[in-house]
Amino acid sequence: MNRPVLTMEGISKEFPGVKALESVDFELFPGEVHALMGENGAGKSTLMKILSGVYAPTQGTIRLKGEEVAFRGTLDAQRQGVSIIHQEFNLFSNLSVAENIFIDRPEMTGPFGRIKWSKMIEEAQALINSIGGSDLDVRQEVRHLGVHSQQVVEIAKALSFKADVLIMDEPSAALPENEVKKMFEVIHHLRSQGVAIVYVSHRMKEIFEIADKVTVLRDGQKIDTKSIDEVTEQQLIQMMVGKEVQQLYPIRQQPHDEEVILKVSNMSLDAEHKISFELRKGEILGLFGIPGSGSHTVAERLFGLKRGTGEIVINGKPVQIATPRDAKDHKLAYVPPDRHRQGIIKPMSIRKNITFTLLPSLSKGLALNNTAIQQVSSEYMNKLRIKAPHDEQAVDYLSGGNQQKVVIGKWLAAKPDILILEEPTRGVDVGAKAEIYSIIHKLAEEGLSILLISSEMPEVLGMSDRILVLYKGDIVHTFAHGEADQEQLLQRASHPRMEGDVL
Amino acid sequence: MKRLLSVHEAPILIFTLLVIVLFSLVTPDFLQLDNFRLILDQNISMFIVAIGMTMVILLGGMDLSVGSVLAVTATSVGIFLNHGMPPWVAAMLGIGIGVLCGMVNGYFIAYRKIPDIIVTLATMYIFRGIAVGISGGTWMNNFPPGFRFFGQGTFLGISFPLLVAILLIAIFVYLLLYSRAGRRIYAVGGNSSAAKLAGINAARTKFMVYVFTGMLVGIASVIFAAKVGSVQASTAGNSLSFEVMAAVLIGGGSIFGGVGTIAGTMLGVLFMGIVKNGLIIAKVSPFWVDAATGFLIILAIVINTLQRARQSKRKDGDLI
Repeated sequence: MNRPVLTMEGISKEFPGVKALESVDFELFPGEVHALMGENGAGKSTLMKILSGVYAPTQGTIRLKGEEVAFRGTLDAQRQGVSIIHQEFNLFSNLSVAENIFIDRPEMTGPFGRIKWSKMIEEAQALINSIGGSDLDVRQEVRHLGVHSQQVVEIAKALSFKADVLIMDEPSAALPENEVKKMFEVIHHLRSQGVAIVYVSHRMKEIFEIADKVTVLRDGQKIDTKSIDEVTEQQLIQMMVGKEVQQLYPIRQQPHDEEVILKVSNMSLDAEHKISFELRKGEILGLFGIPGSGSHTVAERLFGLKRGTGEIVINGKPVQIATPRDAKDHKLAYVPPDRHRQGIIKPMSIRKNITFTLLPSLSKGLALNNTAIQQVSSEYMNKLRIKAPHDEQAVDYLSGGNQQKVVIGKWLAAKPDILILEEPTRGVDVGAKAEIYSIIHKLAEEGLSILLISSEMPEVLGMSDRILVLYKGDIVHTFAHGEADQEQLLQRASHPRMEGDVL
Repeated sequence: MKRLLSVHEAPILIFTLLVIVLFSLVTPDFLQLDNFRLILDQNISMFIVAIGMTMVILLGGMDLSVGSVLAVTATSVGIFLNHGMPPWVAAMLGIGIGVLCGMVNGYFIAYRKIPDIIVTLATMYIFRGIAVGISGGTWMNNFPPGFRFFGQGTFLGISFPLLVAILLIAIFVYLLLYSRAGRRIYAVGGNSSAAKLAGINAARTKFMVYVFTGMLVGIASVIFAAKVGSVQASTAGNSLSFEVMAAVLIGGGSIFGGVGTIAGTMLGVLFMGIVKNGLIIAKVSPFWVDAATGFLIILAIVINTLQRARQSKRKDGDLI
């Protein structure tokens, strides 16, 4: 390899009270894909924000192509050749692809501020074509595009600044499995053109597939940089966690009851697809599917968020669930996948978040019974070990893991028989994950029946007593606990039902 | 045909034509050249103010104060004239006052980050109050003949206010569609955080939009005063803000920002004008004109929404 395109030396960053990065070195060569790994809070995003000009480092130097630089904002970094693609896209859905790429650029403006439309369209199309998106018409508005095409637009936008360094933050998070492949092709292409790519991701499989090198951060420090051939997945995890991987998933002490608590027959997911399954008392039933499988729809149907046909029997009684209120009345609870939008009410206190689904039962006549509210709130705060100075704290200020516990607590307080958990550990750190798993486990041992819908394979494999695999609206396979590994699970989840499959 | 229907302004255009056909069937007096001239003439101020409101709504904002700005500028112009100021100077000063009002709105909204609905709700009262205060509650009239030209004069055989409106429309269509400054408005309204990352100064863009709006209201108020010949501070432009906002929304503007065109808005103003005119010519009881107008507004907006829903269905990558 030749000279590095980017060198970061002794980078430290302090925030009031926190040392986010401590003397981190990072080198990047042209034409390499360099994975950056670390747990939440390890300092990955701080490092990337420094590199992309969001933050200035407290200490340390950045050299770009041999010259020392100090970025004044993201635009400045882009102009000098460092572009970042954030996990959440930053696109104008109301504007055309071409304009998204070249918004507000002096080089696209003539006298009297006139936009050079034909030049813009031409160059945008050329750029899109160069990364293999030739089927994309740059005159289209972005709101008509799918996720992969939107990502192509983001990449084109980044490259339009003649990027030498391209940072991709969790680029596969928004993509369905089959589109990840397409993205890899784009990355290969960029690599062959000499662009250096920083690939921030949690997904081991992708990193081994695409990266040339990997750097691991932990607690604000760089642990090591390795060539990808030198390390195994297990070693990387150890570097990230810093100790032997602990037992994350509790082991069931006693088998669950055989009594069927929920029986779903021919429940429609859409016009063509119907599923049937049973959930037993105290069982943790995993439901796994890649995006597009309809696993989210299962939750929506069960909880009355979406209507359809089919029969649902709870505790031996056929029930009609047309609204979430019906679901609640039948002792169902649902912890939704997006806690920010669907789970918590951010400015409200922990106490109010936990109790607001139960207010009718916590009232005396027309007035709220504040003593009872306080009792319920502190009960679940203790039970779920929610870490906060007091339960009057606004939920907004809690960490992701504690927010998630508040959502779970809210539904437990409603004393459900069946708990639907969808992506219960999305965006929480490993420590909180372990706690949430032990809570789920304890609830199941106490007899609560749990439907665990998740796209995290280790989670489904580790937690479930039984796993249903969903593919495009059909249950294509059932695994018992310990029967499958990640590869088998993914294999089943990406193919239609096979001959002679056990259900 | 399909391409024609996918044009942003198609629904409102078709709906306007339908309403025209309807009124023509009801009364022969409607489909007359003179009547259309009247409709244009009566709505000149609205056309001009609506240009500004289109930009405000493109930003995802709203401006409740334009009616009051119209009152305060028109009243000021009246006072200037009654003090013997030459018409041109009075008109220019009036437009300046409009700009000043826009700067007040823009400052609080863009730089103090106070929500537009709150700022303009307050300035709606403030500007109206100032207008009433300086007028002493009396009518402004007896404008000099030279001033009337701004509202009633003709130039090369075409009404002067209409010329002004056409010129302004042309300028702002150019600005919004073909200039960097105009595209910034779409960008900020479409996704303000992405705009920030693209290096766009969102605050300055917002400020400029309110200043432009103030200027446009200033021009409209001069025309209004000159045309009507008398101004009462407490009632001038009373329902202007809501009518203009309705016109923008009818014309396909989105209240969430980022979507809308001046062409659409102009059709929206025309639609409102036609409806009001048609209902009166068709001798609908004046007591029912407001209700009928409101009903037609909601119908027009529902049609817009349907078009948008149909388009967004085309999006791929939908989960089952």
